[in-house]
Amino acid sequence: MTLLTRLLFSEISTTGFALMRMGWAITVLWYGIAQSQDITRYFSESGILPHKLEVLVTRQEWRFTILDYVTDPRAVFLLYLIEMLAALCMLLGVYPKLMTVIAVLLQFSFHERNPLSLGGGDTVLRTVGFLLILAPTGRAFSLERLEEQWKSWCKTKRLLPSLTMPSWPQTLILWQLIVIYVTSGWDKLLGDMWIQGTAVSSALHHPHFARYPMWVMDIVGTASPVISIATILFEFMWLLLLFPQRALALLGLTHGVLKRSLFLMGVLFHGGIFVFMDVGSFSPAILSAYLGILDDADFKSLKIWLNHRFRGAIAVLYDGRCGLCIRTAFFLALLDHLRRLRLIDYHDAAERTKVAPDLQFKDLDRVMHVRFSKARTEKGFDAFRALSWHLPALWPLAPLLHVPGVPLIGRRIYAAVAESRKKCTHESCAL
Amino acid sequence: MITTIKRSLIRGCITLFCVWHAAAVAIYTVPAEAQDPASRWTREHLAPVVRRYLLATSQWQLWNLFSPDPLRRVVRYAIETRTGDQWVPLALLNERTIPWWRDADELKILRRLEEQEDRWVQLRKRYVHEYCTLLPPGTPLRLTYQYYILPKLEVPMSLSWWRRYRPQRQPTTGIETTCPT
Repeated sequence: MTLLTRLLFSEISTTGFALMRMGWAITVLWYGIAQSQDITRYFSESGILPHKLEVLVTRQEWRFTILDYVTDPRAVFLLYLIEMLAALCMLLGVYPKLMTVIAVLLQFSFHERNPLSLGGGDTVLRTVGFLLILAPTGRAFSLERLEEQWKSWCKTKRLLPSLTMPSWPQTLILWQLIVIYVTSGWDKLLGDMWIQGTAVSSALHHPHFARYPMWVMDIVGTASPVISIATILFEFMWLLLLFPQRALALLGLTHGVLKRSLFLMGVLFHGGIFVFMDVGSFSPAILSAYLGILDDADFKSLKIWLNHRFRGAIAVLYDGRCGLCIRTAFFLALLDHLRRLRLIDYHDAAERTKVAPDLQFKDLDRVMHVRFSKARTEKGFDAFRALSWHLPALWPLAPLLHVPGVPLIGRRIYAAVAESRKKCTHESCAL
Repeated sequence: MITTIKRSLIRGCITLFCVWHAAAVAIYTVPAEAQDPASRWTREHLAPVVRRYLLATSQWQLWNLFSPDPLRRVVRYAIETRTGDQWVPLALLNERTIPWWRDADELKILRRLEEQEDRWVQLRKRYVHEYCTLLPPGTPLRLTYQYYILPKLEVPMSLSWWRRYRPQRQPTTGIETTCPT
């Protein structure tokens, strides 16, 4: 009973599930937009599967789809647009629970209306979507929560701790992944080619799935024996998560280490599939599901690993009397997942002299300064660009800020904004 | 006291739901190809119990991804129209002609239409009739396949073997029809 209580009702951070919600939304938007040309072809009365032929393809029992009642092509397309809008709101955190319910139920409806084009990725999206509807994630990663964080920041210069939820949705998504991998591995053992090491080569040489010309797939295919066997081993390794801690200890493992190792292997495995094979939404969908199994210990472990070569703190000196600057500092605090930043209002003389006794007030008043070490201080756009390498959410943007031409434009924009902040009278500029 | 009872009741319901859902998912995904007694018994006796729940909640699932063996039949599809005594291609449907962002879905549909052989004749006709918007009513049309089967190799072959490999495509006709009047 204690084990069951721990598995289902431990308080965990909502971060993993909120990230999974965003991953689900990105996948649905990505593949939904790609399908936009075919929506009425696939799902309306005028398309390839009118209602009179539906009986050939779909089951007749325990099947619910709003598209049995909405058949007009324009109305079907409108439903599609509603689903895409709901997915966008899920991503941005606008009424996340309501939008999740709308997007997931519409996704179910489209899948039930015409299953002809469905693949493994679609099934993963349905299973993840179902748990997203049920999970009590509250306001996690929502605009409402952002507002709460902002109020807290204005009052205390601190962010609120992560919201929590019971662990049962996370246990169910972990179970779902174990089922996917173990049954998939089991099914592979029922054939010959995976054990013989020829399956991957065969799959890579199927032109429907190959992303690159055959001479490339020929080369990649030489690794088939290793990848075929490694795939089966990787899939069955998920079973180890069901072993009690004491049994894992005999292998020198803990559940946390094992889960994180499988996570990493899975990212490489599905990333590899995505790079070399066109198999629809499977890789992004299952990688979204991976986000749902992450807990506080995983995030902490990742933070320690990413920070293992980082020493000290990065001092960001901002103008605490300018609304725009306070908001900038707030967003930097929100994005500081690695806890590397120290945000200092340079009007606080004591704090300022602690980190930057050599910097003049009039210089600080002109532009944001960031002190990485005693030997290195950046300001303005260059400070933001250097900071972006320390803020994981900005990593995709960071290399682009070094592209020739971008710094020139960036510095001009920054200078214009910095100049106007003193003139600005809008409420967002002056709190 | 009432709060504690309410909390226990809610926890009890959630526990039951979790156990039920986890069991249902596991039972339903037992591979269809598994012929051992335990798997057969599970499919015959337990799967029908959980089936309704999984179907009603759209949680039906089967994880035969590239298994038991990967798909080896490679097909290029063509829609042809009759001009005089000859069939001439109207549209070629393969991974090269369908845009990359649509080919996974479209080729999956075409594969499924082909796999079902004669059971989905009406569906194939419907698919082909999409091209009638370009043609006068009564125009003969057909769906053809050019296929080959990737070899089922017992041992991994070398890079040079794959470079020498040249598949022989076989032509076959899927369905012949005319554009509706």
